[in-house]
Amino acid sequence: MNKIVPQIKLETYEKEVFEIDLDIAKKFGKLVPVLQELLNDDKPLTIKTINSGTLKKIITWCTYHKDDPLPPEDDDNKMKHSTEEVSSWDDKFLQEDGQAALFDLISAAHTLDIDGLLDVACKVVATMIKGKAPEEIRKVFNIKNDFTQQEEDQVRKENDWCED
Amino acid sequence: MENTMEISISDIPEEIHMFILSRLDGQSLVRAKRTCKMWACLIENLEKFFGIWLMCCLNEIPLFMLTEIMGYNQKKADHISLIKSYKQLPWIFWREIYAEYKRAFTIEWAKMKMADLYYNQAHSMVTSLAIKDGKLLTGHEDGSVFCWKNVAMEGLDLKLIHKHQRRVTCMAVTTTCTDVSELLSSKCHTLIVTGSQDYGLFVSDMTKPNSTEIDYYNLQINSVSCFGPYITSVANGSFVQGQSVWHVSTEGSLTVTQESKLEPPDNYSNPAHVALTEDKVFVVEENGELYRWTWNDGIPNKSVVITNLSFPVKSLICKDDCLVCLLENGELNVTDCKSSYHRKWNIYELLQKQPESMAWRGPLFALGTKGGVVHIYLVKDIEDMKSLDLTKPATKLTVEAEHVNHIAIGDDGSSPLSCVERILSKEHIPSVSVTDTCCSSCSDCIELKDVCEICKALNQPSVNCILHLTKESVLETLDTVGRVVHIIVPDEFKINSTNKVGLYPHPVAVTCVDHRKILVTDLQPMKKITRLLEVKLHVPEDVSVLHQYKDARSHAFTNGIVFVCSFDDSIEMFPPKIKTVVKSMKRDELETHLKQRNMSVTGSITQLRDNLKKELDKQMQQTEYEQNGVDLSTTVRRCHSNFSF
Repeated sequence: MNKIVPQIKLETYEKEVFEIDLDIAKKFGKLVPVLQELLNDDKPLTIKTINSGTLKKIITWCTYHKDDPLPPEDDDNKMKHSTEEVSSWDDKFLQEDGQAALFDLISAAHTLDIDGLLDVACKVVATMIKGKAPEEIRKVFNIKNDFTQQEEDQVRKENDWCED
Repeated sequence: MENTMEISISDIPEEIHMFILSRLDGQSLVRAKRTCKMWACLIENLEKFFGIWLMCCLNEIPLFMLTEIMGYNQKKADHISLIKSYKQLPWIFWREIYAEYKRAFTIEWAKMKMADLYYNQAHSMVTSLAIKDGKLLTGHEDGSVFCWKNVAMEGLDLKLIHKHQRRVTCMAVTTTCTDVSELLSSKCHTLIVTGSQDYGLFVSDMTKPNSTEIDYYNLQINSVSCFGPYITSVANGSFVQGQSVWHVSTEGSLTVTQESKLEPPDNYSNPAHVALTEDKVFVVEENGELYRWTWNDGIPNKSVVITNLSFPVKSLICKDDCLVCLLENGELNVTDCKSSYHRKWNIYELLQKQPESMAWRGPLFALGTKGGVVHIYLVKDIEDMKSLDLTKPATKLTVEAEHVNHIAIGDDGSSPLSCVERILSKEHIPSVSVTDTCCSSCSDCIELKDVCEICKALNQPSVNCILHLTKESVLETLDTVGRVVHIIVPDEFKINSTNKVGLYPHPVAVTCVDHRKILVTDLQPMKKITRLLEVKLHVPEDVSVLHQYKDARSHAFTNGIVFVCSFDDSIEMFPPKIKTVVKSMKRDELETHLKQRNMSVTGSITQLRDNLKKELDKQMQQTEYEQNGVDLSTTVRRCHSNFSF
């Protein structure tokens, strides 16, 4: 007889219900304390802040990274950890649906407390910022410049060593 | 289905912005700070409370370069304890270190300034050169060792440190501490060690006027090298006597004791160059044989031949187990002892010029060649050094001279500094060139328009208050401030029974100002007098008293104005009277200022000046800062001064 994989049910913003394998759901830090409850309960858990597309992506990501070792907990090691490069699969996967989807994903990863995904997605955004002048950064992320000329000059003066 | 929840970066929570921003490198961080106010504010938090600059330093700068820029030799330590000790240093320190590192990269595009330093010809040629903490050290043919202060600034100050009887052949500068806790304990001394043809090895303390001589050799000293408080040197025939490593103690008077004596190799000639690291000594003989000694539980092992370079060596540099040798035949040789990597370049073939000297500090590697050209390369780490493309220097420096005999690299606090000792072929005037790769413009005049800025600044988080004046953190912060100031300012410049000028022993607040200047408020608790002092980070003896206050306990700096918070809930500003510089203004400047104030720009220059002056005076009176005092409870919301000990 086939062993039945335990699953939990999540309902998204669009009221679509997803069945997620327990192994994958364990990656969702937020759900860990209530997993047992969810397994017994037949009613899906509703997460209004996440849409179906995003949840689909999260499941794909978690399935791909199912066997990754857990990141070290130690505070000091975190510093070192954050310099690791983003793998090309992650980079492509996270960027393929555009910026808005990426931010949705980050918000969702934050809501569900998925450390690995949050880290890698933030790194991808950080890479978009790197090497750009302030004006270019504003353009890429559609940020409004709310500095007055004088304030901007002041900040620039403080950091004249990084001008190029 | 249409996605109705699409969000942009400004919609996501601040916390996530922090996650993203904390993953930036230092340079991007500074740029991101300029994009919008929200990011500026978040990044300020990352700087002050999350140690982002320390992270940037550790992630982007190889450790050996980091400690080199910090100005000491770090003994081996594991990553976690290193971070723990580094966290003791304030965030400003790390930003400064990062800035100094990044500044070096500006040589690629920045304009260069060059100045010739002239000295009495009686001292003859410079035979050794070093830069430390903005001071230039020169050793001369006639045996004198000079310290040049304020090289990059005006008012050059030349001081004789020692007079050897014959030519100074080698020089090394070291800082006695080997980890951060020692650096913080204010027992850290800077030593200059010079070797001479007169067989003398002279150690002098730059921190305290103290010196001693090592009387060991009986022939000319060829090279000296230091690691923390340890010194080793080689002289003609010194292998016969045994290769000696000394320890310098700065407790009380300067004393030197022999730490260990290394056994000479089996077949030896005269040793020409030496390099000392924490646990190794490298010596290269005059015929190019390269030896290494290591220690085993404090007992030195027998020497090992690493390689035979087959040619005499002109110059030897050792960084993090990587040896760089410049050979007499024009070859540059890089050996990495960790990975037994070996590579050589034929400089003459690549550059069509005979190499004469080299230097390496931080990410700058300089190669001096015949014809007065110094090639400067950017070398971010050992790997960069191994794959160096000599034909593509980041910049070239041309000095009017035939030879480049010595190079030293430093940083004057606002730009990288390199020093080239050269010989003019025709006139033979001995001189040293100092090149400053960045024109640092520093406008010290504060105009009245800044006054209007103050009101704004007070409502902004940019008021740079270092003291977080909550009850729990006051004592701890004072302790940190004390330590920071004590590292920067050596004992001899602090107030004591004989020294009336200098710092009081109780610094209570410190802030960083542009260009490596810091402002310190120090307190004389008995008399309840506080003073506002300006200290130059690289020139700690240059302490100037800006103003004296009654019992001030904190200060903040913004827009060129210092706000001093006193114990009686008042804030005073420095400079107390805001200067208007109308008098020296040229016509075009006057016009811009008048236009800014919607005033007429017609009339003679005297009239325009008068008009502007009148307007400025009027503005001055309108401001609520007339009495140089501000009532804390009404005006300054962000600065809390009600704290108790």
